[in-house]
Amino acid sequence: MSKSKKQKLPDLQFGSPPELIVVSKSVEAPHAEEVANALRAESKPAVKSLAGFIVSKGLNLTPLFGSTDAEVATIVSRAASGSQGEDFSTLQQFYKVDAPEGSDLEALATQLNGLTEVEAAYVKPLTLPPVFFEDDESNSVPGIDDQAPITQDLTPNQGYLNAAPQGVDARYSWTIPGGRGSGVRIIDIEGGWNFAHEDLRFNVGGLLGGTNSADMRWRNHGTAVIGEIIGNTNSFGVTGISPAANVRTVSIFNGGSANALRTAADNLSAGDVILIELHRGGPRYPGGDTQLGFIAIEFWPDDFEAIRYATSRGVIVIEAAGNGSQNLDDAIYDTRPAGFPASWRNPFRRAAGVDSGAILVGAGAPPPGTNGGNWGADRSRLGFSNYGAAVDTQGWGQGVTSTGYGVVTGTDPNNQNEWYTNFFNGTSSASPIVTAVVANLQGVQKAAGRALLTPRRVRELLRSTGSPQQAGANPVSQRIGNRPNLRALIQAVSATPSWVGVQFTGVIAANGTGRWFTHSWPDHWHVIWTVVPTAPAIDGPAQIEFKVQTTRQAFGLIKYFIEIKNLRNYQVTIEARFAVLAS
Amino acid sequence: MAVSVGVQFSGAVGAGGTGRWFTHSWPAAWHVTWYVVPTSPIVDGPAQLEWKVQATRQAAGLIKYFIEVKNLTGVAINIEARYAILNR
Repeated sequence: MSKSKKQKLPDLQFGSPPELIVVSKSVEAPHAEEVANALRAESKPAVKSLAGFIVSKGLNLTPLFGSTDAEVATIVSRAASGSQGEDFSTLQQFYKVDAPEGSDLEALATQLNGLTEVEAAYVKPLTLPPVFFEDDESNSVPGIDDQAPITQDLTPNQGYLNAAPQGVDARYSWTIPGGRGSGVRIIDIEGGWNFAHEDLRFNVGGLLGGTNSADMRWRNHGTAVIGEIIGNTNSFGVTGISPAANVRTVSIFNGGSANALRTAADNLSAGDVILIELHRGGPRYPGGDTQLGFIAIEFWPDDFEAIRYATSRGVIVIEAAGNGSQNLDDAIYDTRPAGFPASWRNPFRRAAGVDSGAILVGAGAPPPGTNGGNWGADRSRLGFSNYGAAVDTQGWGQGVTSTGYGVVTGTDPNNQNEWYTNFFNGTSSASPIVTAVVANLQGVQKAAGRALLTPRRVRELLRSTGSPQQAGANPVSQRIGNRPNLRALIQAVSATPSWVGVQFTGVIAANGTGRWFTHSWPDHWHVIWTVVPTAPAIDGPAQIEFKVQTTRQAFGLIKYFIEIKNLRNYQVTIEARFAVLAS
Repeated sequence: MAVSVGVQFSGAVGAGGTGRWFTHSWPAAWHVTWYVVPTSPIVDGPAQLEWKVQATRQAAGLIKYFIEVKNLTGVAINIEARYAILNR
């Protein structure tokens, strides 16, 4: 193994630029079009209008979720009539303002908030990948004194592949049809990747949107992320948890995070997976070169809407909880930040009914001794990891072996395509593990011909199975959830326990029709209904017939209507029975 | 005896309309039951759909099922037709 010296660089130098977001009061006003018209017109609109302000300040206004107002309207219309069926007209309210370099975005936001057409205007701080650069050798470039071993088999270092509780038991999953993630598509959202890496030759679909950053910190980071998932099966380097899944990427550069999420969602189907490898400074970020106070991006209104858009389509969104050492249950996150819309609510307070549908991933310690390190008790919360009731599950947040960085090199130490690391970390390294676990689980579902798991169901499974969080330097009350265990997850989804029951009884008048409904049945339950008469007992012609109707009453919930017709000229009592064939 | 379940197809049915699908070559020895749920839109209100099942013996040992789905609402709906093989 060759390991080079590192030289620390400030974390914040390479973050994606802050974004100035404007939320219009109207879902219909085509403000970008108004700006374009104003630029062409000789007579400029009033400065108090949004278009007038933009033109007068020499700014640029573009819809956040599409290139034109008309395109966003089409996306919203498609969403309303498509599989998700929810109202996403709010997407038409979001715009991004581009200002000349050096502009004071906060001052512009304040001015924009004073316009009558503006519901809200806020600045999203720069965005970083949730990894620590002083620990992951990101600044290192192999030096000339490095010895150059041949590219070696690093899978013995990938303890996260192993059986629980050490790992997620990918090795078991691989023995089950579909358990390598076959047929499942994943999109990683961050900033940069090395698509020419020797261990990422297959099942990597490249860049779907945005610009691939040339900054080595982004490129190493993205390369390590997808290596955990898709590292090719061969005799060298690493093997990903889901080597048969397909991974594509969307960069936040040249488009921003919310638009990247929308692009990803529109290029996936229900059951596929989005991975968000980003975090940014929240209310407790003190400023300066630290990730303290960095939180999950769903805190920001436009990113929340974009995630909700994806999960409502049935796409599973895995989101790094962030490395800010934050208690996400803290009341500070209930306070609406300046410039956020009045309708905004704390997304980490799911019990209050605000829920993006994403799965939040915290960072836990790997078993002591992993790759020669000791970060505390196995599965205990690492000090940097955010925690709280909304954090659904954990992955290894230290000591992760993957592609990129050049901590381990091949025959040519300067050849980035042969670079690997044993020390990828953060909620950055934790989240791909969970992403790949979900991909394998969906692959098993597909191969078995079973319905793909919904975002709600995946969250429920991750919370109810797995290796429990342990106390270490931090107590279990600082929740980061269980480490996934594919063996337990596959058993949970493969089991088809069925049970039967009587949902209701009733009376139907002579020749009459009775109609009942029963609500809030989980949509992943396969439920069939039967109705039988209970009295009177007469051996003659049929007494009743029935039919079943359904409606999707809410996300993940089905309401059943049972209509029963009495075919006889006397009163009949009935019993409506159900059988849950799979859950 | 194990139960095997799945989604056979998904599709759309126009407002007030009826959609009809068939699926063939199911072993006659399998006891299959069919049921349909909407996937969208999400509306907590009256029933969105009902369905009926018809069958034909397409060949010795094989059954073809026809699933007819009626949209009870004034807007287009998307549906998912599910099956359970009760003796597989």
